[in-house]
Amino acid sequence: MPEKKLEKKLLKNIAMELSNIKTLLDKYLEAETTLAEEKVLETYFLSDHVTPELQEYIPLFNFFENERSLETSEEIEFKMPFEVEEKRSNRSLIYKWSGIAASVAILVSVFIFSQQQKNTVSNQAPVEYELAMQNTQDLLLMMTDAVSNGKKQLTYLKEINQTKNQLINK
Amino acid sequence: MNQQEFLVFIEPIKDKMYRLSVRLLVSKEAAQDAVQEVFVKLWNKRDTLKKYDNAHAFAMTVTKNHCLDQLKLKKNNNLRIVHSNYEDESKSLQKQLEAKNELEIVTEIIKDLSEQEQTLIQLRDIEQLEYEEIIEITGMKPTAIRVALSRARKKIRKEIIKKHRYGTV
Repeated sequence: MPEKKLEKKLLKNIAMELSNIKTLLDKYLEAETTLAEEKVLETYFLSDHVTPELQEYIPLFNFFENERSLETSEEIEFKMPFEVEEKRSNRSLIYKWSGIAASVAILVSVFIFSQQQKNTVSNQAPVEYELAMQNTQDLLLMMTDAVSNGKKQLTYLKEINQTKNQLINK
Repeated sequence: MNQQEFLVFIEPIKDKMYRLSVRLLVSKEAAQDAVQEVFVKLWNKRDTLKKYDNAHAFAMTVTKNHCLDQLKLKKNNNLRIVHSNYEDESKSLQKQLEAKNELEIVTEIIKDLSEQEQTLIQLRDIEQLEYEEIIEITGMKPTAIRVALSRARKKIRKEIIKKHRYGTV
C-alpha cells in the first residue's frame, strides 16, 4: 500500500512539474519570465527526462548553453590599447626629437655660415676701402678718356663725308 | 583610470563583448577585430568611464554600436564574405555531426532574425542579463524589449518545428 502511494505521489509530481514547465514556457514566449524562471526552464530542457511533446525546445536551450561557453581566453589574445599607444608614442617621440635635431642643425649651420661671411667682409673692408675707391675712380677716368679719344676719331669720319659730298656735288 | 584599472575593468566583460560581436558579425575574426577596436575606444574614454553608473553596460553599448556600424559598412560595400565563409563551414559540419547539426540549425535560424532581435536573444537568453541592464545597453524601452524578444523567441520555435518536420534531420 505505501509503495502505491509513493508511486502516485511521484506521478503527481511529474505531472505538476510538466504543467509548471508548460505555463513557464507560455510566459517565456511572451517574454514575461524572470531570470530565475528561465533558469528553471533551462535546467529542465538540459536534463534527460524532457517530455517528447516539448522536444523542439531542447536544441534551443542547448544552443544557449553552448553559446555561453564561448570564451576569448582560449584562442584570442587582445593587444591592450595602451601597449599599442606606447609603441606609437615612442616612435612619435623619435620623430619629434629627430625633427628638433634637424632644425637645430640647420639653424646652427646658417648662423655659422653667416658669421663667417660677416667676418671675411669686416676683416677686409677697412684696409682696402680707399684703395678700391681709388681704383674705381681711375677706372672710370680711363673709360671717359677712352670714350673722348674715340669721339675725336669720329671727326675724321665727318671730314670724309664732307669731301665725299663735295666730290659728288661737283 | 590607469592601465591596471583598465585591465580589471575589461576582464569580466571581454567575453560578453566578444560573444555579442560573434553573434552580430558571425565571423570570429571580425568579432576579434571589433572587440580590439572597442578596447581602444574605451581606453580613449578612460577618464569618463568612471562617470557612468554602469560602465560595463556602457562598454556593451559601445560594442553593439560598433558591430552595427561594421554591418552597415559591409552592406554598403555589398560584401558578404563573412557570411558565405560561415555557410560553407556550417554545411561541412552538418555532414559531420548530428548533435552539432541541431545547434547549427538554431544558429542559422537566429542569423535570419533582425539585428535587434539577435542582440536581445544574445543579452537575455545567452548572457542572462536582467532587463534593467538590457535597457541600459540597448537604450530601448522595456515594453519594446519584451515585444521584440517575444517575437524573436516565437520565430525561433516556429522555425525549429519546421526544420524538424520537413528538414533533412
